[in-house]
Amino acid sequence: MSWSTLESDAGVFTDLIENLGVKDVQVDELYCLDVETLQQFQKIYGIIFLFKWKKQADNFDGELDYASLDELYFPQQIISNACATQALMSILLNHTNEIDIGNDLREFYDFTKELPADLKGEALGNSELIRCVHNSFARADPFISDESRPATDDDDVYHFIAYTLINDKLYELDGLQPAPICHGKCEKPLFASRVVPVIQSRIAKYPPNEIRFNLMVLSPDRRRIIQQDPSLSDTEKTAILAVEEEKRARWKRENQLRKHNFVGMFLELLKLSVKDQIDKGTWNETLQQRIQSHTQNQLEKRNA
Amino acid sequence: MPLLQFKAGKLRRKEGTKILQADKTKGYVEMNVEEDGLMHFSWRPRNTEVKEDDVVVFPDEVEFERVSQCNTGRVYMLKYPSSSQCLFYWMQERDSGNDEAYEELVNYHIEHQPLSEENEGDEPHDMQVDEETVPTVVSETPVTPATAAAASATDSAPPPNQASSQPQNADAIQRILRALQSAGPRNNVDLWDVLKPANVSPLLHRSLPEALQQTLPPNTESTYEGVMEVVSSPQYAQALQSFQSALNSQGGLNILAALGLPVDYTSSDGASLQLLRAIEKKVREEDVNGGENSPDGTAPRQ
Repeated sequence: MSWSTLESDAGVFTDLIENLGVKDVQVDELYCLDVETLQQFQKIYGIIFLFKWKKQADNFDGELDYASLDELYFPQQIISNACATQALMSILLNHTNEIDIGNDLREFYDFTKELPADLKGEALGNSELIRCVHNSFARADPFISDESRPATDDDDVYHFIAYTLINDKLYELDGLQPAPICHGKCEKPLFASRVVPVIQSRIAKYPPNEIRFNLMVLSPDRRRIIQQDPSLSDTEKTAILAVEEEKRARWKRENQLRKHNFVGMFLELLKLSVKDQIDKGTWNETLQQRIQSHTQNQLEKRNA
Repeated sequence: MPLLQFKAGKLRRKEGTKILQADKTKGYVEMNVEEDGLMHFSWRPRNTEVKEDDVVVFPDEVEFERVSQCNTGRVYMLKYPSSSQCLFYWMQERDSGNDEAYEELVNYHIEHQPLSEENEGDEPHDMQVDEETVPTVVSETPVTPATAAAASATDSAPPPNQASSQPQNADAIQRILRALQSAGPRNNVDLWDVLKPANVSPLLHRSLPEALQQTLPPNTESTYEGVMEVVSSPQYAQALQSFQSALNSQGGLNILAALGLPVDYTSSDGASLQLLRAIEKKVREEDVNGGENSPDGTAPRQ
């Protein structure tokens, strides 16, 4: 019953939620944290923030809002590797009126919505469906790696937090906190301008050279929005749609490659390489060169 | 003249079993600082200068210990605790009273690397030179590196002596120790070198071998372009990194065994290198057996 780690990739997340039955939602990576960029999205369901998490107690902005536990869907995180999917669920399951989450997730939502936060989290951790879809996006790694060792202070443990508007309030949903964190009232049109400084403030709590952040935006499928946009001409629509479809095709291909077990291909390519060198009579020489260059590299690493 | 030299023979794994057998060949274990400025541990037959084993040894990475399971009591191993590889030797010096001293000397030289020009090597010990009889097969129960390691777990090597009269030595030792990665014996290769796009490209002839086609990801064209698209992808690179990591980690040699390839736990070759050699063997065998497997289906080479 284990959960694999996932690559933090918009194509992975988009495909993941689609495979869970969610309709017409896409995930995009945000390369620029500013209001203008966010405002280019006509509608935002939420933002997922990925960062390096230290194991000390965090000081955070905003207030823990225990009362809101009855008003919104907040699952506590039980399983570390599940946190990407957790963050996605935190956003999707708080917008069930706007998003078609499909039959399976609807069932899950109905079954768990009255449960306390920790049991919501457990249910998510135990969900065969969600876990299987999640794991299907992990790299096809036939070798069991040592993922079960506990994180130490030195480990780079990445963590996800979801930011979303619920009942006109800006919430930070962090599964490792006991409750949602409220950042105050916020009307829909102001989401972008309010959430940017909140996230920037969070980033500022880390050392300046800490640049390993990822931001993902959940929004409606752009292709639909473009189709229905009256302000665009047909040619404009076609052009934008083409770009969007190209991106989707690329994501699909990347996911195919991620899921592929390459060991067979490695062995066949190695055979071709070895054969080639034997034919040319360069086998021994090339092998010795490779051995030497490996030793050289090891040395350089040690002396660095 | 090497820093250290004593008479010793090798033990090799009997192929297909877990039994170590002593090789009668008379040889020397030697330690010396070579031209690369590094401490080498090596073994050669006494009638040649050509070394059969030659590994660079770094402090805290490798230990030289007695194998307590052996019935004649004079078998030692060069052990890499972080991987499953060991090199085994048996003492050929007549007088077993010096065995412990040799063991300590080997470990001393491992721990005391020549880090500055002022460092001077130790005088090698002169020992009595008589023949020792060949030990019988090491033990009734098969000795695997795992059991040997378990047996000698309590015989820990003397702790590394890091205190040094020369401050720059201590610093340098610290630097090395900090930068150390747990790795096996020195001899290894980087598979990325072999399988990166630039080196794969010239291997692909107009028609791809059937065997390769079957391993391609779905929706890949069986053409040069199709394969290169895959080989140039970040997912391919990541998968290769992950594969190589697993191979060269603890228990990585078991992957080779699982793939049906020959593995030698007592060799000084790392897993990636053993993989290449195993493939070389396969390729040569297929060549002898007929040309069905040659890339473009032509008749076997002469």
